[in-house]
Amino acid sequence: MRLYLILFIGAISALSPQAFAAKDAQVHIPDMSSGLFRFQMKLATQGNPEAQYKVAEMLEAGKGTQKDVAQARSWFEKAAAQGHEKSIYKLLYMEIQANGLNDYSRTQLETIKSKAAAGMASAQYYLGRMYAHGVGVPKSLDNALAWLNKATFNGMSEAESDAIEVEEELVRIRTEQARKRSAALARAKKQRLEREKQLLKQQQKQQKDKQLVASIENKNRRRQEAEKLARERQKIERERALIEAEKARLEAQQRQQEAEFEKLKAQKLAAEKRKKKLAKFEIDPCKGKKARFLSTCR
Amino acid sequence: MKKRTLVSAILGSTLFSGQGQAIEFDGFLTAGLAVHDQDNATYLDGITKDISFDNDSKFGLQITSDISGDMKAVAQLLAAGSDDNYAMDVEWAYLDYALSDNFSLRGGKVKQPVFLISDYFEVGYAYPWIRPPQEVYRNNPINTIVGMEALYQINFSNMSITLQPYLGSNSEAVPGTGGAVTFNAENFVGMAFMANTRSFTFQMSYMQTDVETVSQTVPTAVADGNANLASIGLSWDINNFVGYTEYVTRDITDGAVNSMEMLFPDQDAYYLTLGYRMGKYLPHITVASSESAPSTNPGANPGVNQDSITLGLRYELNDSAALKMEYQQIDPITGESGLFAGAVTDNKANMLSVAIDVIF
Repeated sequence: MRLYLILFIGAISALSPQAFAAKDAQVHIPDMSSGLFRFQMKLATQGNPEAQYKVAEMLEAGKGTQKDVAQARSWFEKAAAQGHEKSIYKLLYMEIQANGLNDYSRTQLETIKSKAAAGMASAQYYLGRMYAHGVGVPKSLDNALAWLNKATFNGMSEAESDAIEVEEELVRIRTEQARKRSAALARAKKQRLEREKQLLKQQQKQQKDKQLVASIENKNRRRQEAEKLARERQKIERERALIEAEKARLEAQQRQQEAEFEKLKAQKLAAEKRKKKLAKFEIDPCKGKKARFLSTCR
Repeated sequence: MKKRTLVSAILGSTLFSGQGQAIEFDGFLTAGLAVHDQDNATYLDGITKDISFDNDSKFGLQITSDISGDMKAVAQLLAAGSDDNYAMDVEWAYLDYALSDNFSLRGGKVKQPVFLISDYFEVGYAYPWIRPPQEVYRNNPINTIVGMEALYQINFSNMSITLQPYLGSNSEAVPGTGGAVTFNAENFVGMAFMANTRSFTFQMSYMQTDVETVSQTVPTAVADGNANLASIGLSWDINNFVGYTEYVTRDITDGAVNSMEMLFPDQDAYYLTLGYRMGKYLPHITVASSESAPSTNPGANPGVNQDSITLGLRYELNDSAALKMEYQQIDPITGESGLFAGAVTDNKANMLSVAIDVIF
């Protein structure tokens, strides 16, 4: 297998830089692939199981030749018939993929698992692929990557590209998950913020309403207090006005009384003065106040 | 004492009988001082060379109570400086019963209507002088009698006529005896006639009484006799000219005990007062004279023989008070003292008197 890899790398090294770049761009280069296919076909035809396996893969993928899944299967079966494990596993893979698990395939799958666990690189490789694509087992990229890495570590070079793909997918999935999680978090945060905002708005509204109510209540209270105060003030004013009026009346009465008193006093004084001025002696004893002392005045 | 008991009885049965009648009080007061220039003589009832207040000062209170519409009780209480140092005495106290609008009967102690101002002799405010001319007024030592009098008054046109007959008795101390000798006047009868017009008052009166003098130490009569007294008087008030004039004659006749004329000689006296009213001022002048016809018996009372002239001024303080000032020159005839007790130097005395008379 390592030999094929060296050959494969050497063939690739002989290619022009343009052709190398074209490989990176996943562009089939019929000239080079077809040569490789022809080389492999030659070996396959000679009965080399590994070459049969390679030819089958290239037919399956359409690399270096026309894609022909049936022929590819044929070549896989040929190689398997020679005990080529990868082909055996490939056929099992294809069988499960096409028809699902049955008793046989389930037994074979358990075998693969056992072998993979025992450190067989090819078993690890296909078990990894099965996990990678959910064939016969629940899809698990983590398991797939673990088994593919083990296969790569155990010399299964083609497992590396699968591992990379799985890893990329895993990264993509995780990235997606992370993105989704982040988006979910963002949404949650946004929702939370929205809720908080709404809550805040609600609180603010409530506060505002409360303040408004309080303000109205305060206003009402102030108005009531003001009205009460105004009423009390009016009452006090009325009472004050009454008191003032009473005071004014009393003062006026007092002034009037004083004026009358003064007038009476003045009249009395004037009368006394007049009387004093007019006081005169009269011979007739029966005139004036002296009459009351006489016994003969009538 | 007997008289006072009677007065008290009258007062008790009338003024204070508790019948709920209003009692009216009227008062009069004279505060007077007098002084003359005689060192050894006293004039009237206590005027000397030193300022004296006793002769003229007096206070009187008249109480009148209407018992019913036609009956009233009147009393006049008098406290005079000349009489027992202001001892309160009852001057009048009588019950007046009006039988008609013109005729009244009075009983009790009543005034004798002898002279023009006998009725108000004690009320100084009612006349212009500080004291009425004594040459005339001293001829009747008795001012009141205990008895009865009738008062008949009738109006003719603008003239009012009053007839006042009376009868009764009284008792007084003989002047100059210090109370050791009193005389009792009994069977006292008299009559006064008075005519009043708006400007004139004319009065005539006559009285006669049996008199006996009694010594307080010897219970027998010292003298007895009969006294007659007649007077005539006129006063006027025309265009501020005012005047008084009176004449009196007293005739004493001896009785069984032939000494009455020795104590009370016959007397004739008169006075004339002329005044002119100038508002509150009334200046006046009085000329008075008294002449006696004493008994020829040795030791007989010579009586009063004197002339006097008085210049006076009355000033009205108000309608209830008057201030009076008088200067009087008194001339007893030679060798006699007139109304003085004691010798009068050069038979001429000068006297000043000031008084305030108030009624209230």
